[in-house]
Amino acid sequence: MNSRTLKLAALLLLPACVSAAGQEETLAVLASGSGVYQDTFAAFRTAYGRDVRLQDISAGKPKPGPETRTVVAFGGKAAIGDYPPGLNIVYCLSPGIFLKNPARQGQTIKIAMLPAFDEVFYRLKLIQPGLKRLKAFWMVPDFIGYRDRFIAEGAAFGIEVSAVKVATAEALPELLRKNLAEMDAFWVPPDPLLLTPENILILKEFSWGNDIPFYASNRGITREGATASVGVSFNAIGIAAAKAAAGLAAGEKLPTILFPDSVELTLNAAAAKNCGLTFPKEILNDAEQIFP
Amino acid sequence: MGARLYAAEGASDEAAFFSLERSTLEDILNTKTSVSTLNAVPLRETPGLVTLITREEIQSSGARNLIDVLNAVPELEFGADGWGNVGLAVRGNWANEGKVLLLWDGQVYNEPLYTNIQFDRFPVDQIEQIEVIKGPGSVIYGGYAELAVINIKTRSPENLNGSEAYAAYGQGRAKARAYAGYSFGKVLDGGTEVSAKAFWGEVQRSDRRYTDLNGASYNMNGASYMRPKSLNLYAEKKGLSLRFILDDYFLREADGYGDVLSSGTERLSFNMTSAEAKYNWQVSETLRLEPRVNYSGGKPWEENNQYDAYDKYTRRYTGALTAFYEPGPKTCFVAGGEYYRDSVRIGTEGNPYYLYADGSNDARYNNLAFFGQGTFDLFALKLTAGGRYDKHSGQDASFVPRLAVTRLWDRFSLKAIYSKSFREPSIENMRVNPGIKPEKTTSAEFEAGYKAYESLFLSGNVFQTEITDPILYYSDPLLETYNNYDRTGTTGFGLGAKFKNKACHAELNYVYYAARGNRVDSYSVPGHGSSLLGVPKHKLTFNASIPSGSGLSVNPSAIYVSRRYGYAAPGGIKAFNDMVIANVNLQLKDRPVKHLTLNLGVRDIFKSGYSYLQAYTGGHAPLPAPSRELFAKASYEF
Repeated sequence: MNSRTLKLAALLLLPACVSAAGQEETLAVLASGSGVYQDTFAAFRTAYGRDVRLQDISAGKPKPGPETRTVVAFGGKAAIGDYPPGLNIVYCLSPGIFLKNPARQGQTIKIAMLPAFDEVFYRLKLIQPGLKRLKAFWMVPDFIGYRDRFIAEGAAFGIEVSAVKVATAEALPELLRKNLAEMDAFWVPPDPLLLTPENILILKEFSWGNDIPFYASNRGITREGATASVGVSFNAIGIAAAKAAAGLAAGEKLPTILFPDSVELTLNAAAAKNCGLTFPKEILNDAEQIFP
Repeated sequence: MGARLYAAEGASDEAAFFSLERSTLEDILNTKTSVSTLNAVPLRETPGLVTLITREEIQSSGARNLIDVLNAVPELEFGADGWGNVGLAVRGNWANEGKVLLLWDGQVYNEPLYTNIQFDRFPVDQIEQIEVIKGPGSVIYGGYAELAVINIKTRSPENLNGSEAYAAYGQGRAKARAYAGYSFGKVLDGGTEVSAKAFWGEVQRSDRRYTDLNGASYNMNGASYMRPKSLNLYAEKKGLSLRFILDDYFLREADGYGDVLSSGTERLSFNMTSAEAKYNWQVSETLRLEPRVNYSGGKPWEENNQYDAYDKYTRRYTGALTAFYEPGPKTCFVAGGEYYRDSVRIGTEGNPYYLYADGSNDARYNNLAFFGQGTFDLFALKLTAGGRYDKHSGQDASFVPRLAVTRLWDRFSLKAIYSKSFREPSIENMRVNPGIKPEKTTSAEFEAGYKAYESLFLSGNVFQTEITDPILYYSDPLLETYNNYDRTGTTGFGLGAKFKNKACHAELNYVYYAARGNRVDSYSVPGHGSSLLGVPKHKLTFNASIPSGSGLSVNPSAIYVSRRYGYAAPGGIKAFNDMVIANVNLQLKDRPVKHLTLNLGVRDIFKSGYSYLQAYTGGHAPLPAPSRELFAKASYEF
């Protein structure tokens, strides 16, 4: 290799050899550098308004620097990283995870994948004014953290909510049949264990076949046949994470769960028709998306 | 602790759950690709004109093989080469032999002797995603990526999350194909990812009659079968990934260089083994290093019969290091170096005619390359600038730069790309012509896209490709050689419309190209200066998927090619009329059993009589494609 080749190689490799400089106090850790994780991070970065360090956990173990004060984790794999106990952790897009570690000195804040529960029940009542008995089917342990608050908020809207734990996927059809006479509708949280393609099909066919409205928390489930979903957008989750990170940077003491501010309502007209529901105009105007 | 346990077990559940949220047109447009830059960039901002083909699209279309899939990209057109192989033309330019790079799970599938790709060998049912750069890719990928890059990723362990078994059968005038495969993938406790994919097939190249330029013919029905077999193993833990591929493929043919072989069919095999170790090393929050070592070996074009004894072992050892440096969210540098060493040795059955310099039985070459690229936001534009330098021991050095500007507004996107690229002469090119030079291409591309509605995306592009010193095969009865010729190229434009609403999708794409400055007689069509041999000037492709309830979808597709010109007699070029190849596939999912997918389709419904034309003066007559075929496939995931 001649000297000209060496010089050219050195020139081309120079940018990669520059050492990291200007470290930030906030580190963003993504479970994957693509898909919803990247999109939510983009919303976070815009709302946060300043540069943050970014690490993709699929490319290696996250390594907070000595200047890092807060880790914002996007996705379950990122949330369960082995972070120093003194760091604050804000975690989102982790629908099945609720971090509990009393030994940590830093604050641990979960960004929920749901809007505040009064927003949920307010809309369910508008969609189905006669709703009195609602069954909530769930599988992920994370739901226990919400359960009592969800039931209490339902009661405030005159809805008797009961939570039904689905132990295994095989048990779901029997549980649905068993509870048929005791519900006006059923609801599912953003539950990755429960909401597999086959279970969504079971829930949809049960709903459509028995005229029982099926309410969910995600747009995609509504597209697959749920009557409606009251959820939050990934953009809103990113913004909520940014607010939390900014609050922590300002030294605020935050609650362990934060709910994004805005609501994303999605309707499925075919599903409503099958359940004998007619969406009121107010709800139709409020919907972000209506599947035909 | 409970939360941690769940996360380890439920990582794939989370990914599947979020995948439900990403099936709108906007999601597809926002899909990130690293094929043009190595770092992930959204499709509308990546510095290349990239077509993304998803598993869903491949499966719903009822594609039987990679040729069916790639034919739906109008910039690509297949043509006949010799010895039973077909090759690609890209935007009208014949691009066989080392001008298109094909990566299968990151492994180079251009065999090193002539740098051809055997497009019939790939198990299409293993594919998760295909990215096609329809323009130069040498800045990142070097000397096989002069005119296009086809980057194919098979299903990941996370995506498989269990097993899939599939089997297919096709019936034309006789049995056209039968193949089967099994794939397994899992994310184990502790985060280790493993996958294993096995495939076996027996396929007939065509059920029609091949007639050579002198009028001799043979019936390919029953005398042109291929047998691909492969095993693909993968494991990854904590950033260290290992891959091993064993690929055994052979075909039988009787059309050789073009004249029908007088004593029946002969067998050619293309065995290949590759192994790779790669490590993702996150050095700091801003710096990531990716060292890689790779081995690839095989015996491409192996034959031993009364016509020829071609028996050569090839080996390639590659070592590479790539650095990714991201000092801020809007700035990224990628730089690296790559060294490979090629060797070839004539086996015991080798023909002395194929000896290397000074009568040697073997030859060795090496190549050292450095590349660098920066991406910056500049005045609301995303600017990508980079270059690659290659120094090969057997040929002149090459330096290729690229400058690209992209911009994405809410609904509107723009790309302008200027790039140079090169084709590295292959081992056998250098054997027959030690003075051969790399072929060079200069390309300018411009693309605009507009999301007219939430479910409709429109795009248009113009391009110009200028190739200097094109390398071309030349043969007379006593001599085969490769020479550099003067120059050739094309100019043209493309239009596209993509519609997606719920599970319904449709796509219509059109490309026009015309010869520009062609001074290579072997590509010319006398009296039609704007045409090039073997390729249509207009190509229109359509595909759609229409759900019709209860898990059933109807998936029509069609390809229109305008008039083409090809040899039909010695020295006699004939016009082949325009034609439409129409297909339909019915797909039934999760019925009558969950996780079962059934496909039943008809390929080439109207028996178009399509043949692959040779795009240069090489002595090969039109090679008949398979005729109408009833195709059925079943797959089950568990």
